[in-house]
Amino acid sequence: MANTTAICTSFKSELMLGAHQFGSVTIVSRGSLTSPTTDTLKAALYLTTGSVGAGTTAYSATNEVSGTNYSAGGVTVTNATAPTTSGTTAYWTPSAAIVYTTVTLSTAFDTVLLYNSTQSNRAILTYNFGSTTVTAGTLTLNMPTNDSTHALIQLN
Amino acid sequence: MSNRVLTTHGLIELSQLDVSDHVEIGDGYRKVIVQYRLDDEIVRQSVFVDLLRPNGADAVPGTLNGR
Repeated sequence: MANTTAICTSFKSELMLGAHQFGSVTIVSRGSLTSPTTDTLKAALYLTTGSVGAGTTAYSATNEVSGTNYSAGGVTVTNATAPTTSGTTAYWTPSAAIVYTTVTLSTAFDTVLLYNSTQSNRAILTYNFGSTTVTAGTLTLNMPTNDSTHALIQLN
Repeated sequence: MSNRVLTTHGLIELSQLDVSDHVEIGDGYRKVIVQYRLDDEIVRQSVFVDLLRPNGADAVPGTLNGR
């Protein structure tokens, strides 16, 4: 077996775990340097007139949906499964569907923003699922299978 | 046994409502929209979205490229 050039797979997973610090960044204390707590992730919805995407750096209420039983900032994302690896891919998926229960969101929205509410609301990803409204009902965002080919976040 | 549904007009017997659903498939998602109508008015609409497309960052040696 020959030596090869590669980004180490363990490093990809550890990026999501916050195990490396290449430069200085201001973070909110996770309680312990050696055994830190897991950050809280949240999911906010955005109107079709919004512009969230790759350039989004943090949660903002601008163009966020509003309506009955929807709280600004959205809902907490269930994160019971840590990032892991398979082959050369590191991956992670929320461990449960993201659910907005009995909401009325009459103005069309199309995108969810996942962000880190513990760390100054830093943005993680945006996902556009087409123009949607909900009337006195439930919006359920079902997650893909958490494996190296389907997971919501993959570092390949 | 009563089977009532929460709507914009409060709890209404399911038998009084017209229920329909349809599937919308788009780029990276599949969406099931379930509508409850009372006299042609939508009084409840729930949406179930399957997120199908991973959000990846391809890492060829030395780079992490968003796609």
